[in-house]
Amino acid sequence: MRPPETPSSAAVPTRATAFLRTFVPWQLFRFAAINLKMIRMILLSHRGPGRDGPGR
Amino acid sequence: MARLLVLGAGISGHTAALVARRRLPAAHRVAVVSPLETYNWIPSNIWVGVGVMAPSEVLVPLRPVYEKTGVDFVQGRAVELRPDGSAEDPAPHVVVETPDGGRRREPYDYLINATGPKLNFAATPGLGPSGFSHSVCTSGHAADAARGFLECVERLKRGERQTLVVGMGHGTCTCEGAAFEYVFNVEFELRRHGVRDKARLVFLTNEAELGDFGVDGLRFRQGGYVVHSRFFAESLFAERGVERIVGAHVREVQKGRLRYSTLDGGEGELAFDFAMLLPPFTGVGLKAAARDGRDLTAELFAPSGFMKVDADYAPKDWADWRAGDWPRTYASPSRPNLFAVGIAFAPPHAISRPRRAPDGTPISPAPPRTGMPSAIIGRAAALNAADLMLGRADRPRRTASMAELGAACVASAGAGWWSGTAASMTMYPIVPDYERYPEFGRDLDRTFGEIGSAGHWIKQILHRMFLYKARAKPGWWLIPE
Ligand SMILES: Cc1cc2nc3c(=O)[nH]c(=O)nc-3n(C[C@H](O)[C@H](O)[C@H](O)COP(=O)(O)OP(=O)(O)OC[C@H]3O[C@@H](n4cnc5c(N)ncnc54)[C@H](O)[C@@H]3O)c2cc1C
Repeated sequence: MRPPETPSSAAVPTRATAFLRTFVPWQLFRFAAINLKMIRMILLSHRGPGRDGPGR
Repeated sequence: MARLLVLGAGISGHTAALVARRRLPAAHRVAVVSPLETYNWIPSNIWVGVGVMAPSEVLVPLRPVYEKTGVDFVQGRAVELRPDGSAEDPAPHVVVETPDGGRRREPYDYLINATGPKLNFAATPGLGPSGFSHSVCTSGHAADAARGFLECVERLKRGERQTLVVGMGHGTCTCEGAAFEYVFNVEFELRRHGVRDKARLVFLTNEAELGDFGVDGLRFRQGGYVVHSRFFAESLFAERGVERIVGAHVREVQKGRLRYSTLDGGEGELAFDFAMLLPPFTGVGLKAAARDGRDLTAELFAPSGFMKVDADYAPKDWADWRAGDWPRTYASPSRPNLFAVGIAFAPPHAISRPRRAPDGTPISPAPPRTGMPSAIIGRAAALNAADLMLGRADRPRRTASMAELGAACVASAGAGWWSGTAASMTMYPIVPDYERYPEFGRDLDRTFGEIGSAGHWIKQILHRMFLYKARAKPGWWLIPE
């Protein structure tokens, strides 16, 4: 069989990757993991290096 | 008793006003000047723009919130700063144009300018709602865009072929992430309506490569490699069959047609049935004058109209840009009781590498100031002003440099609880710091991205949480910016 005429060089997800993106049990786990990462980022950005000497 | 005046009730100004009000004893006044009576949670305008959310769901009436919290609200548009007063009034004040066409003086001891952007549709002939393309920058624009989009869907249902173009309406736009979200929401909705096969969808951007997002792209660890965000963006475009035109500057929009040029010197035309193209931003055009009437605008504001703060504005080559160029306290160097936050402050330079077409046309993203940093900066300025008002500090000490802040972003790629997805990303810091992170400018342990339904759920939760916070409901202050 001939390959498609203009095969894209972009990476495309495998069937498993695409499936997992909307597979609820896996996404519930990712939901917890992403929230943790974001909370860490929020805490870091609120805490600083953010303060310049005394006076808070 | 001292008075803090906040200009603008968007993400940064509303945050600043509520934070300052909570921090200051009642004897001190906090007042907000804003032309509109509502607060707009702009990130959700994307969903209004495809017709899955009503404008009322992204708006919060301001008066009840300010009555409840003890903030004075002045409906009007600030037009001129008089930092040293004027002949009629020696105290610092702002001249405000009221909705009935009148003018009034609003005095201040401390001022936070949070006026956001002017949507500069005029930069490209024919761009914008009064021309031939749509926008989603305000809830009203987004509602109009939804009407245009749904008409397009009706034509597709009748079997007509349609071309939809989404992207940036000028070579110097910012907010590429918002256009990215919109194009994938449009794509998702076309599928939901069962008409995807008849629609040609084109993304037109000023980014030199997809995934730049105005922050020079991100790098993530993935599968044993460090990969650029371009990899993810291109993958999503390929998967969803969205065509792209990169490194493009729109020269003119006409009815159903646009002309553009590209970084490689190319010229192109694109016929469309529906276009949503974001405008470039400038400052809102505030003027400033000394007591004797001498014009201070150039002293206080950059040529872009954004207010100068404690950044290093010396012109530098890209190779000489430093994280330390970025402002830390957002105080004006010429008036220590003036602050500018959110989109209203003048950035020292872009974050993405500047690029020009062979004819000299600049085509590269302006630096974004997204919701999270805008709100954190608003909060820092409010606390600095409060410290100064309370005599707890003799100069602003709280800092919120974008080269020291991280950002968490969720870019929707389709709204549906089970089938919708979004790209969740964190980056640290927002402005790459090649002195601290010599290889990639950012901390790879804190920079990541992935696509899935979890992102959509987070986006939905953020929508509810930030509207709750904007309404200043019980415990609002526990919700971080
Ligand atoms: C379509 C879209 C989608 C987006 N999505 C996201 C997202 O998903 N996540 C994210 O983090 N960021 C997102 N952003 C960016 C985000 O909206 C901005 O970072 C944020 O709104 C900036 O806040 P601001 O307070 O500086 O400006 P704004 O929110 O624009 O507020 C400016 C305020 O000033 C008022 N004003 C204007 N002129 C005057 C004047 N002369 N006098 C007094 N008041 C005045 C305005 O009425 C308004 O109340 C998006 C932006 C757009 C356009």
